[in-house]
Amino acid sequence: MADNIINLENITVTYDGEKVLKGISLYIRDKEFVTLLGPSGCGKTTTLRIIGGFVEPDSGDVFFDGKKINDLPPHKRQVNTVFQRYALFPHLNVYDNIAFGLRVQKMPEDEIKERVLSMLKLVNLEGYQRRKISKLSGGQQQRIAIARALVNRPRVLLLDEPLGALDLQLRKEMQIELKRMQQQLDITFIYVTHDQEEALTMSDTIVVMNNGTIQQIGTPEDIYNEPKNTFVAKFIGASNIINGVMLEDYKVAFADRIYECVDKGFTANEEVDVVIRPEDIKIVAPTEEYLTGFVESVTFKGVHYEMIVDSYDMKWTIHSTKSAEEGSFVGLNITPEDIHIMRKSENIADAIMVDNNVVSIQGKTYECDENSLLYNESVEVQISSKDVLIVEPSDDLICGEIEAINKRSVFIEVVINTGEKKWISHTTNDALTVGQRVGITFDSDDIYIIRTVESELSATTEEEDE
Amino acid sequence: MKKSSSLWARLCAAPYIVWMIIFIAAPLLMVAYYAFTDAAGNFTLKNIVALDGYAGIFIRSIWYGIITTIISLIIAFPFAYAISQKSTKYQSTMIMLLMVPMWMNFLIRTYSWMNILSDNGIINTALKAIGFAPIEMINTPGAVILGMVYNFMPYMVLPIYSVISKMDRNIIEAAQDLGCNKLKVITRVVLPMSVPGIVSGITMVFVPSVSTFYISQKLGGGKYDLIGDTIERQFQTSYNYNLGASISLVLMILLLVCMAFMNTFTSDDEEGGIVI
Repeated sequence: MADNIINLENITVTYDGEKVLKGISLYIRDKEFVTLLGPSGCGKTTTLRIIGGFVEPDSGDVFFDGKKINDLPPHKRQVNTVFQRYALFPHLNVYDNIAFGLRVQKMPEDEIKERVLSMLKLVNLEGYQRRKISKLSGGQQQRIAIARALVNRPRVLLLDEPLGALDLQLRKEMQIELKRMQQQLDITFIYVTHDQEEALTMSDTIVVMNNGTIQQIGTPEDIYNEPKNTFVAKFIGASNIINGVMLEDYKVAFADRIYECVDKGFTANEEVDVVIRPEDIKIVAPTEEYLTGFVESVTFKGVHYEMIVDSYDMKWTIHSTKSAEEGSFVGLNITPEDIHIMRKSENIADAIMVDNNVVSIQGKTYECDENSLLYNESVEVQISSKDVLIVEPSDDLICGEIEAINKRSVFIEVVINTGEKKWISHTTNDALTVGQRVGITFDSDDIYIIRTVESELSATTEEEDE
Repeated sequence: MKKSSSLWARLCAAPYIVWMIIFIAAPLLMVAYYAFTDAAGNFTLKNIVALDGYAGIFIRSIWYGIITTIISLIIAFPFAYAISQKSTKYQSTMIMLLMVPMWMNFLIRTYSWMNILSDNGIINTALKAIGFAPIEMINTPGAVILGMVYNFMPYMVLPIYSVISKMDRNIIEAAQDLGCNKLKVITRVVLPMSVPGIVSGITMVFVPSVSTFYISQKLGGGKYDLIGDTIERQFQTSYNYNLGASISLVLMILLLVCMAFMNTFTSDDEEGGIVI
C-alpha cells in the first residue's frame, strides 16, 4: 500500500535467550497518530527502538517508504525520537540543544536560528533559548526534547513514554498539545505508553501488545468497545468478563439467564466470553426481569462511584454517577448493545509457577519460557487455540474427552472437556471423533504467562522507569 | 535546641580542626617563616631574590609537567571511553589492572623502569641478542617523561572514566538519532560532557608531575634536575632550609594559580569529576 510509511514484517528479537518480540507484523499509515500500548515487558519499546534503528531484529524486515532499512544506522533514518527521560544534552543550553541536529547537518546559522525560534514558539517556550537545561522543570525539558526532535522535520516522530515522569495535570495538558502538534505538522507520531487512558485520548490507531505479540490493532473505539480477547478487555479498562454460551444468532446465555445481543456468526452452543463494561450496567430496582445481587462495596472515584455487586458467584464491577447503598439488594440492567461477545480463541487457565520455566496447569507440569516469577506464584496462562496440540492421552498430560468438533473454513475446532475446564483446539486433523479420549500439550514458547492484571498494573509504573 | 546542636557539631569538628592547625597550617607558616629569614633567623628577601638562579629548573619542571599531562590525556581519554563501552565485568577488570601497579611502591616502580631502559637492561639485552644496536634510553628527557606518564596516568583515567561511565546511554542514542555518526557522537557529546573529568584529571596529573622528585634522578641520571629534586637537595644535602622553603613557597603559589585557572573551565552545577 502506497500510504504506509513503515512496514514491519515478522520481526523477532531475542535478548539473553528470551524472546522479546515473537514475530510481529505491523504497518503504519502516513500522518497517523499510532500508539503502542501494553504492560511492561510486552515489547512495545523494543518495537519503537527497531523503527528508530537502535535495535536490529534477529529476523524479519523493516521497511520505510517501501525501502528495506534493516541495516540503516539511526543517524541516517528520517525519524527522530523523544526519549523516556528526555536525554537532553546537559552541556548545551536550550537553543544549542534544539539546534544540535541542524548543526550536525551543517545548515547555515541564520536558517538554524529561524527554525529554532519557530520551534520554541510551537512548544510555547519563547524566550527560553539562553536557559540552562538544569534550570528547567520536567515539563519544560519535555517540550525542549520534543522541539529538538521536531526541528529536523522528521517524517516520523517516535515518542517513548514521554509523559511518564510528569504529574497528572501536566500530563493531560501535554496530551492535548501533542495531538495539536501532530495535526499542525501533519506527520506520523508513534507513541509508546502503558497508560490505556492516554492511548484512548490521543490515538488514531492503537496497537495493543502483550508478551511480544500484537493482541489487537484498531481505532480507540474498536479497542474499547470490541476487545478481541480477554487480555485486551482487561488491560483497556476493568471489565466484567463472564463465561457464556451462544445459543443462536443474537442470543447468548450467561449467569443463568438468556440475553439478546447484537452478535452473530457463532456455531450453536459455542462457548464464548461475554464482556460488559462497568459503566454499561445500570442499577435498577430488583425485579424478576433483571439479574439481582447484593451491593458489596461502594467507593467514590471522583467522577463516578465504583460498586461491587455479588451475583451468581461473580463480582460485578459497576461504575455510575449515582451510588447505591452498601448491602442493598439491586437489579442489574444490561442492554443488548452493551453485551460484547468474544470468541474463545484463547484458552485461559489458572496455573502455578512451580520452577523456572515450569508451570503447573490443572496439576500437570509444562515447560514454558518464563523465569522471572516467584515459585508458587499464581498466574494465568493464555494459549491460542491454534497452539493447543492434540496427542495420545498420557498420565503426564491434561486429558479429556472430545465434546464437540466444528468444521471451520481452514481448520477444525475441537472442544475437549477435561472436567475442570474445556479446552479449544484448532487443528487440521480430521480423524478425531466425538467422545474420543485425548491428551493436550503445548510448545513451551506458545504458553503466555500472565500475571494477574492488578499486580501487573501496579508493577508497571515502577518497572517502566528503567 | 539549635544552639546545643551547633555546639555538638563544633565538638565533633574539633579533632579535625586541631589536626589541620598542627599538620597543615603550622607547617605552611613554617615554610613561609623559613622562606623570609636567613640562617640566623633575621628577616630577609635574599632567598626569594636567589630564585632567579633556578628559573631554568622551574621552566623545565613546568614544561615536563605540561608534556606529561598532554600525553596522559591523549592516552587516557580514548582508553576511558573504550572501556566504558564494554560490559560491567570487563570494565571492572580493566580498572583493576590499571590500579594494580599502583599498589606497589612508587620507588620500586621507578627502579623497575631503570632495569627496563638501562644500557644493559631488558630491552637492550633483547635487541643485542637478535643482532640490533642498543638504543640509548636511560638518562634522556624521554625516559623522565615516560616515568612520569607511567606513574601519573591512572589519575587521568579514573576521573574521566567516572564521568563517561555515568553518562546516560539515552544521551548517546539521542545524538545518533539527531544525525551523529560514531565520531561525531564523541566530538560533539562525549568529549564536551567529559570536561569536568578532564579538568580534574589534568589537575591530578599536572600538579604531581611538576613537583615530583626521584623520577628524574633515577631515569634522567641527574642531568635533568626538576624543582622537586632541587627542593629535596636543599633540605637533605645543602641543609639550606631557607632556600628550600622559598622554592617550595613559589612552587605552591604557581600551582595554586594553575588550579584556579583550570577550575574556571568547570562550573559548580556540573556533575561528575573528582575535585581535589
